[in-house]
Amino acid sequence: MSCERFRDALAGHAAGEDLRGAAAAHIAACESCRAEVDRRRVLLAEVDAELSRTLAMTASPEFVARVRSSVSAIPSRSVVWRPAVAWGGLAAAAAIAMVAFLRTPAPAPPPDAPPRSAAAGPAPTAAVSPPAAAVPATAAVGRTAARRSHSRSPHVAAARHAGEPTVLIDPSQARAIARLRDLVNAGRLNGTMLPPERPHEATELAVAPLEIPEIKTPGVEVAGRPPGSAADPEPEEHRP
Amino acid sequence: MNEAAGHFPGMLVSADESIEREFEDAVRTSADLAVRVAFSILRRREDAEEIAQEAYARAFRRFRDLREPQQFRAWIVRVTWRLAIDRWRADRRRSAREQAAGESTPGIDAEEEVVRAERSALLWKAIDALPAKLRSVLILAALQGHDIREVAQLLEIPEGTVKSRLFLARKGLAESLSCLVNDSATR
Repeated sequence: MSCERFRDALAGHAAGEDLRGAAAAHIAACESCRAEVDRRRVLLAEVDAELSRTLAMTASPEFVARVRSSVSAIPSRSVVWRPAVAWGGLAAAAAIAMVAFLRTPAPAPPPDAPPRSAAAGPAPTAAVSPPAAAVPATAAVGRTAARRSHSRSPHVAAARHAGEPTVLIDPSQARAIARLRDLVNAGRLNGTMLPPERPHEATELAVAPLEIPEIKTPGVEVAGRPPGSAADPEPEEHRP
Repeated sequence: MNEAAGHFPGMLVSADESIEREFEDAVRTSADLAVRVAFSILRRREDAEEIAQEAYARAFRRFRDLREPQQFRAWIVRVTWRLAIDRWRADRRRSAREQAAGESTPGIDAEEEVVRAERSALLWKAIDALPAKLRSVLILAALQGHDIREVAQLLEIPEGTVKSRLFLARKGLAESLSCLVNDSATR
């Protein structure tokens, strides 16, 4: 009967708890209780061995490939990224990049300084254009004014509605930019915060794909037909 | 190949590509753990990998929202655990129906294997009977080599809570196994 009183203490002791008071005194004097503690410790050791044996496994070699395959079937984001909405996200990301740029005073290069290159300094944070149309960052730097002046051109309008643009970014910023884009898409962010002490920095920021001017070539003479004929009109400036 | 990427090889990637690369790295470093967690509940490799795969698919949908990438392991453990428990419950209902239809009788030459399997089943019966909070700590402690700090991080609970739950789990096992072994010996 007295052994039954210490049943809970026995289980605790087998699991590693120290015994105190009456329980300690009883177990010190009771051989069957000590045997019971030993038996339970053996059972717990058996459990540990079973867990170690059963769980000593690794994912099969093809597991990662299967995950990759199943994940590739999932759209990369749960919210549908409409081009018009996406453009808002891009504009917000670019605005942040611009604010960071404006807040960092940069020394003016000497007049004879060479164009910026990969070796001379960090790349611009983003080149916004489809990959096939992207141009070197050195060219992109000098074209900001040209982009602004053409921001309403039909080329840009076409590019905006052509589909989802690709944004090239620094990999270390991928997570932050993706989160920002999702916030914009979800309608939880619809403005750009500028420092109140520098209101003059709140200039309009135009984000647009790079435009490559049309290459004008002189008319090519086709055998049997003189250049400037009705079927092959000559460019305006070449006409007399 | 666009020229910008050509000027800065390895510097510029698209946002989605970068996220996918990051996700695959996360899968590689946590795959064994996720499969083991699922296996600890389902005890069948095929089921465990299927559940872990499903957990990763779910995790991928929310991966870009994860604010602390170092928490991915803890996150995937919790998702896998929940999915495995759901599967286990569904399987248990199904196997109960199948058992009612008829049980197979093992051959005499497999007697030793049967004894070992019965013992293993007994131990797992006691483990499965533990409350979920105690069971998860017990299994994760076994998976992590009884590293209390690691288990606390995976479950996002204080180390003291891990210790007390681990103690309660072992105490509960000591109690229940004693009864189960006595019952099976008297049968």
